[in-house]
Formats: sequence, C-alpha cells, structure tokens
Amino acid sequence: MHNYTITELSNALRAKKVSSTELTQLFLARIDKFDKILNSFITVTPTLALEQAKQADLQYQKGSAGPLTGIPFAHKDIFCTAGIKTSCASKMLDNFIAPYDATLVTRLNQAGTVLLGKTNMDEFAMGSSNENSFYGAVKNPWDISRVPGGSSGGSSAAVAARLTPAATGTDTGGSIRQPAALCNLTGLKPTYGRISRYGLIAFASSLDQAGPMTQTAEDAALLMNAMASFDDKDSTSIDRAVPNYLSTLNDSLEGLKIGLPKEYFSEDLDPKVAATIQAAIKLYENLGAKISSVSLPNCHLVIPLYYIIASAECSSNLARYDGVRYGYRCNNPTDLKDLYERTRGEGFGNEVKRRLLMGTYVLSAGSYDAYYAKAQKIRGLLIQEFKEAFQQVDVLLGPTTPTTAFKLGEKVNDPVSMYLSDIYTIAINLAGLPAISIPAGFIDGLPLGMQLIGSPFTEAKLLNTAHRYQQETDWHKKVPENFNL
Amino acid sequence: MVTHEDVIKFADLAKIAIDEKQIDHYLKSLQSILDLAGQMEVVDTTSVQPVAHPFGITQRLRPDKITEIVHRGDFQKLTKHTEAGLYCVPLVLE
Amino acid sequence: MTSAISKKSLPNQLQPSDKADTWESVIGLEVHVQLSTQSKLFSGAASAYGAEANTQACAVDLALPGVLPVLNAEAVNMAIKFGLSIQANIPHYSIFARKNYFYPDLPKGYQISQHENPIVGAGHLTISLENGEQKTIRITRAHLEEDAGKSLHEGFENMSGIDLNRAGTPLLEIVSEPDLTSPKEAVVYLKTLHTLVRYLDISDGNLQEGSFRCDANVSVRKTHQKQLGKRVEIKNLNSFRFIEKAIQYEIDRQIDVLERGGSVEQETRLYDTDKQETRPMRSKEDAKDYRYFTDPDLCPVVITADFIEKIKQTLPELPQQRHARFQSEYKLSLYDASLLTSTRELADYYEEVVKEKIPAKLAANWIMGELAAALNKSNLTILESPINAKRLAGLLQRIADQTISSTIAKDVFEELWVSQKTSDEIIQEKNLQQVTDQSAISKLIDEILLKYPEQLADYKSGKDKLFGFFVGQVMKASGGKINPQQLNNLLKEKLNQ
Repeated sequence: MHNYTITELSNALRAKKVSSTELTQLFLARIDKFDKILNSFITVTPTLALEQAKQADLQYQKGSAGPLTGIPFAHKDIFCTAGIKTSCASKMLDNFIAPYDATLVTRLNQAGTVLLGKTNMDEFAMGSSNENSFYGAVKNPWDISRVPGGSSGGSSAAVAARLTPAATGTDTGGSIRQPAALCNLTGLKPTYGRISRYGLIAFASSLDQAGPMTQTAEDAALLMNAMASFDDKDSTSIDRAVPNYLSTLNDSLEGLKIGLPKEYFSEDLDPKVAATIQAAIKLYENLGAKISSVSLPNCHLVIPLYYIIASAECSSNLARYDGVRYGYRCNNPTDLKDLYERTRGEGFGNEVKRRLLMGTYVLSAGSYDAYYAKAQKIRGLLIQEFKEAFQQVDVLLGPTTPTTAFKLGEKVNDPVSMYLSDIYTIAINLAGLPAISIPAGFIDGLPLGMQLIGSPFTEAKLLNTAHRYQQETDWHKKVPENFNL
Repeated sequence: MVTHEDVIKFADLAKIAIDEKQIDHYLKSLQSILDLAGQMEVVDTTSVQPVAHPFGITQRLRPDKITEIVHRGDFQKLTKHTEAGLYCVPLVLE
Repeated sequence: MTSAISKKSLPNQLQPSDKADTWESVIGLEVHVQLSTQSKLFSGAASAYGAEANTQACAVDLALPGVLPVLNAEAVNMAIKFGLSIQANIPHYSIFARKNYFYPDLPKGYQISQHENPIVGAGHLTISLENGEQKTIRITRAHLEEDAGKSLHEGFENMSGIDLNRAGTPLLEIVSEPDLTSPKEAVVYLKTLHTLVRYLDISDGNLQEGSFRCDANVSVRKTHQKQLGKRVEIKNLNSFRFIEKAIQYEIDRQIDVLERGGSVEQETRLYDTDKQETRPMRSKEDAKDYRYFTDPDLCPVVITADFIEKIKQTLPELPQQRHARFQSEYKLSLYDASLLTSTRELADYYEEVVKEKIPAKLAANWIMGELAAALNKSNLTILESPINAKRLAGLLQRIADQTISSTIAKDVFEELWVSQKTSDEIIQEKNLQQVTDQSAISKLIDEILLKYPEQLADYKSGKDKLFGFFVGQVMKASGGKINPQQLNNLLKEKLNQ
C-alpha cells in the first residue's frame, strides 16, 4: 500500500480495507527505515500524526470523512505549523516553533490530512539541489549519489521513495517542478495568487507559490481542491472561484492546441532529452492535440531577471531575521551592530548570504535603475510575450529541466551553472503562470520531466492535459527499486 | 564593476558579518551574476512600464476593526531575551 | 590722552553693522500625524495608546516568518480627507514602498512607506500671521506609512527594552515646502495643521502621546542669495514651545557658524530641552541608503473619482471657513471667532447654543468666560462638559429675557454644573427672578436712602463715589435680584431730585 496514490488510499480507507492509523504507522515505519539514507525529513511528528489518524478513523466510523481524511502527508519546512518546529532548513530558525498555522496548513488540516513531518529543503528556498540545507543534503532515491533537485528536495525525495504519498512544496523559480522532474513526480505550480501565501515563509514575494507534489495529476487535482482559495490575510491572493479540478480531468484533448516554444528546443538541447520529449509530443498528437511552434524571444533573459528580482525581494524579506524577537541570536553581542552582524553572519548559510548581498547591491543607490527597475520592465515584456503565445495556443510544452539529476557536489561551486538548470522553469514564475511537471520517461535510469504551461487560472486544463497523458503512459508509476521494500 | 570596498559596504548595509577571506569569494559571485545582468542593457524598454505584479490586481482594503487579541506570552516564548514584557537588545543610543 | 573712539566716528566699512538683518532663515516642516484608526495600518491589532508593553503587537506587527500586510481602509479614507482639505491633487493610484534599514524598533527590517506615488500630492495651507496677514504655505505631499515601536532605557543596565505596541500604527507624513521664514511662522503653521487634523477627526493630535510629531529642516542664507544654505534637520520636537525655541536656536547657531567663516554641516540634530540647545545625534544613521522598492506583498491602491467624491461628502466645514463664517454670520470679532473655532467640538457646542435663539455675543462671552473657566478648573474638555449646549442655552435665554441678572446667572450656572436640573427649575426653586417692578425697586431705594442719611448727605455734598455704595446696598437688600439697569436709572433720578 505504500505505493498507493492518494486517490487509491482514500478509496481503501472508505472501503475500510485499512485504517488511517494503520496507514500512518506504515509510513512512519518507512520514514524510520529509509530516511537516514535520504535525509528528506527535518522533523517527524509521530505523536501528532497518530493522534490525527485516530480522529480521522472516528470520522470514517461516523461516515463524515472527506476525500483527504486520514491521508498521511508532509509539509515542506517552509510552511508555519503551529506548535511544531518550522526551520526553513536554516540555523536561523533551528529553534523556531511556529505560533500559528499557515493558511494552507489550516486548510489541509481541516480536510483531514495527517502530518507525518516537515520536509527538508534548500535554506530559505534558495537553491536547486537541496545541498544548501543546515540539516545536510537530501539524496535522490533514484540514485543516492545525485541531487533530488531543489528547493523542495525533501518533499520530492520523500514522495519519490514513498515515505509519504504526497507533500507540499513551494516554487519561486522552479522549486516544485524541477525536483518533481528529477524524482519522477507530478509537481504543480499554480497561478500566482491561487494559493494563499500567508504562513509561507517568504523568499521572493512576487514569485513564491505553494503547490502539491504528488504521484499523479489526479492526486494533484484532489489536493488542489483543498489548497486553492482566496485568503483575506494575503493581499496578493486572488478572489476567484475555485473549480472542482477533478471534474474535468478526463475531458478529451481533441483539438487542444499545444505550442512548442522554439527557444526551448534549440540545438543546445541534449538529444536524449529532445527525443524523450518528442515521444510525448507524438502521444499528444495521437490524443487529438494540434501541435504548433511559438516563440518567446526574450526568454533567454530570464536568468538575470530572476536573480535580480528574487535577490532584491529576498534581501528585504530576510531583514527580519535579526535575533531580537525569535530565532537564532549570537552569543554575548557587544553592541547592536554586533548583534545584527554576527547573528546573521552565523545564522545564514553561504548561498543565502550570497543572495542577500546581491539583493542589497541591486537595490542600492546608483544600481537600482540599471538593475531592478530595468528587470521589472523586461518582466513586463515577458508577460506580454506569453500573452501573445496563448492567443495562438492553449498550452505550452517543453522539457522541465535541461538534464536529469546531476551529481551531489557537481554544481555547488558554480552558481551560474546551477542557475541555468532552472532555465525552463523561471520564466513561468516571472509571468505568474501555472505550470506542471510530469514524468515523461527515463534516460540512463534517471527520470526526466516534461513541463506543461498554461495561461492564468487554467490549472484545470493543465491537470486534464497531464492526466490524459498519464492514462496512456506508466512512467509515473515507476518507483526506485531500493526503496520499494 | 563590483569592488572589494563595495562588498564590505553591502555586507554592512545587509548587516552580515563577513571576514576578509570571504570577500573575494563573494566578489566573484556577484561579478559573474552581474555579467549576466549586462545582457539586459540591450533590450529597449523605453516605452515599457515596470511590472510589480503579473496580473495588475489592485489592493484590497480591510475594514478598520480590531481582529487580533494578543496574548503576549504566546509570542514571547519564542525568545529568552525578554524582560518585563519587553524585548532586550544591547543599548540603543539616540 | 585717551580718545574713546565713538561708534559714530568710525568710517562706514568698519561700522559693526547689525548683521542679523542680512540673514534670512528658510524652514520646511515634516509632520508625522498618527491617524486615529481602531486598528493598525497593515494588521488587525489595536492601535490605542497606553497599553501594557507588547500586548498590541500581533504576529504581523512582530514580523514573524510568513506574515503578510493588509491595508486599513479607514487610513486611506483619512489620508484622502486630508488631501481634499488642502486642495491637494489626489492621484488615480498610489503605491507602497519598502524603506529598508535596521533598527530594533523596526521588526521587519524595513518600514512600509510610500516613495513615488504618495496618496496625497501637492496642496497648500493658508495660515494667519500675528499681524493679521494671510500666508499660503505649499505642502509638497502627504503619504501613509507605518510607525515603529519604542526603545526604552530606564531600569536597564547596558540594555534597551523594545516595546512594539506602536509598531504598525498608521502615520500620515505631511511635508511642507521650505516656505516658512521664522520660528513664529513655523509654529502658526503647525497650530493650523494641528487644528485641521482634529477638525477632520483623523487624529487626536495629542503631542505628549506622540500623535503629532514634528521634524524641522532649517537653513539660513544671505537675503539676496538665491541658493539655499546647507540644511539641518531637527528631529522629534513634541511641543509648540520647544519647536519655536529649537528652530530659533538653530538659526542663531548657523548664523554664528557662518559669520565665523565656518560652514554648516548637513546633519540631523536633536533639541536638548534641559540645555535648550540643539546637538548632533549620537548615532549616525548608516549611509541613509534606504533601497526603496515597491512592496511586492501589496498592490497599487486604486482611487476612483467616485471614491474621492464619497469622501468629499464626509468633509466637515473646515476651520478657516468656519472662522470666517462665525465672523460674518454671528458678527463675532476675529479674536472671539478664533477662540470659538479653535476646536471643532467647541464650535459645534457654540452653534448648538446659538441655534436656541441665544444672542451670539452673549453666548460667546459665557462660553469663553464662565464655561471655559469651569472646564479648565475641573480639567475637562468641552465634550465632557456637565452642562450641555441645551442647558446652557436655557440659562442664557433667561439672561436675554431679563428674568435674571448676569450676577444671579452665575449662581444658577454653578447649580447647573452639579445637577441635572434646568435653569428654570433652579430659578423657580431658589426664587431668583429678577425684580423689574419699578415701584418695588423704588420702594427699596427709598428704604436704603433713609437708612444711610450720613452717606446721603455726603453724596449730596459732592462725594459722587457713594453712588456705588447705594447701588451695592440696594442690591444686597434685594438679594441681588434687582435689574441693574433699572436700579441705576431710578437711583440716579432719586438722588438728583
């Protein structure tokens, strides 16, 4: 049962084939057994989980259970969970017990999910490999000498190894989609503003979005029904009706217009990756989709745009970590300056500090116009480009990442190379669009993901497009051997 | 061009202690990324408005009501550096 | 031989000229007005003054990880109200920006403020100077921003204690152009602004509690010099008296520096109220590179013409309009009108009284006289007056229709103060009606004249001052109830017989 999707688990629970308590014990045991290898969890919450499972079982007895009642689950350690350590994988918050629940957490609690624990991540969501965590790197269950991707590497590895049937992640430049692609998962980044950011520890406010990391598009749809909502505590939350994402999953793809951005299929693309994606395109054609080519001429600028905007925003968002009201504080500060400088110097890891310095530079007098203001203008151009592309097509398709999972330590000292691994995902955050990564095949035993991009608030269409593919393929059903025990 | 002195200045603005050995490391990093940023220069943005938010949504206004009743203890247990309900820091000179 | 060279014999160039009148001062003021909303600018915590430390600092105010700001509608309304009252340009949209710096009373490490696109554009305020002249002071802009918390030092050794109750309270920062030319003018501007924000009901303007804080930018230059001198900012002045002294001190200091051949350093100073001088702030603020950028957690505030119109409808009559109307409608003097319109509550009270058909001047005298004195003595505001407008009007009506004299009215007033009775009830109970019956008065006068034959004789022989004595005696005998006018006339008649 550890390989069951949420949909299957929910059916089993309802049919009383298993209880939530049994399921919870099952996954807790798997975490206990396998996580010392993967390091995908920062905090495991067995007592709470079993208590929640007990409550869920009562609901099933009473007949008042919903589709997510009693489903074991994990949250990326970036979401505030009341009474539970919330660290953002940083020494700065190693001692932080969140006094409140993120809106997303409240909603999933109300839907009845059972919290197994908080998953590992790149520190403050800054990274693409989960090598930047205060609690150590996370390993990819498909090959433990390789990275699971980041920053939601812990959630990704945990779901991939089936230590939890699903988990939440966050995506600022690809941090749900890229690890999903490297670990053979379905990872959805919704439209900006679709899911509340209240309680999501901020990295880059105009780019951050929470989303589900699951085995299937169907599971993602089920979770989205509970996760998506307007929240009046978040000024950037969009007040728009949430459709039932399950109801259109099986819609026919006949006549669906799929656009292939020619810049995503350049000569530089690895031929094996190209071939894998081409096979997927063929499959869509067989399902009735119409394929055409589109162009996103400014998409090569996404890397500098992203790093300028994201670092500027994070340099300001992380200014609150000063040791005064919570979190790490250095020992015996001699004066105020010392308190700030040593608390932040000691509390933050290297990648975080690098981005804070960058952000400070980008916003500083004399640099603002050339970097930040300019970046926000080009961002406008990018948004326009996508708008024009979506006038011709319904969905865009391309590889999620340029390669399969790279080795641990391979890119850690080469920030530019690390950033380039986000080349296909970053533009989407800048434009606030929804996008989903789904398993599209394997290259030399390692999973490869395909990305589907939609215009704003077309998550239902994306999930439908992904689901129909998953009905014709079984990449998403494969699990890494070493953890399928 | 980012200089040695710039790195020190930014570290001071960002209130992050860095030591001499790290300055070169940060310098290289900032430089390599800013080289990428140089690519932006060629794009003509004279007639473009900067975009802070992708969908142009406008600010919602919250009714002026007291909706938070504060239980100070809940928050102050997050640090041991409090006294008489105040957060303690090294002396702040005016 | 000593020769004291008199001033007059020195050639002109060496005359110690009165240099002070070749300098002029240039003053601009920044006022931070705390808006009297219930909750904070970006959170739902209470913003009332005086709560126990950190009991009004919620998760958002404490800048916990993951919290987000949501804008208070009433703060926007109040800002626009202010803008309309100074004929300012209100933009179609307004944007919040982050002002980044580190300080323990600033939990986020940035203040949410406004940089470009403030909610109120350029406007002006007309002030009335001492000599009666009107001067228009241009206001550059006004914008919304959140207040910081407080650092406390008492009782701590080598430590400061931070109270974040105030963090997040809404402020309206009002910036004037450097149009003010003297400390006195500056104070008039501030008082006019202070009255205005209280009239608009957007702030209680309490200086002691920090609801109205002033920073002054002061520079000096030679009278015909076009270029502005280096300016010095004097921060956190919290009383009108100190503001005047601080600005004057600073002007004198700068002139002194320049006359000695030095140059004025552009800096921030504080006013030391004990030593009565300005001094530089001990801790220099870092480089002041605030790295402003649009706050990505907030969206642009859209202000439609409809919205502005709705707020315009809620504007009260502004102080200057009311002042002018009190002069024209009630024929009050400039002085009386000023006093009675000094606060909206007082002006409302006055008009409520006058509405009961009470003569304007009578009402003015009593409100500025007896009532004001009684309120002051008991430390009450007009809103707390035990005698409401209707009851006071009741009393004044009886003076106007001569039922009682002014003197007796004072007694009635005292009774009104401590009871809930009407004037009529009190007059009735104590039998205080004025005696106006000519024959009754005549009889009383005759009695008194008979009683004091010596004084009568003295009067007749030229001691005119004894007239007052007789008046007093008749009044006393009647228990103060005789109509003074009639008494005077009748007594005069009888004495001159």
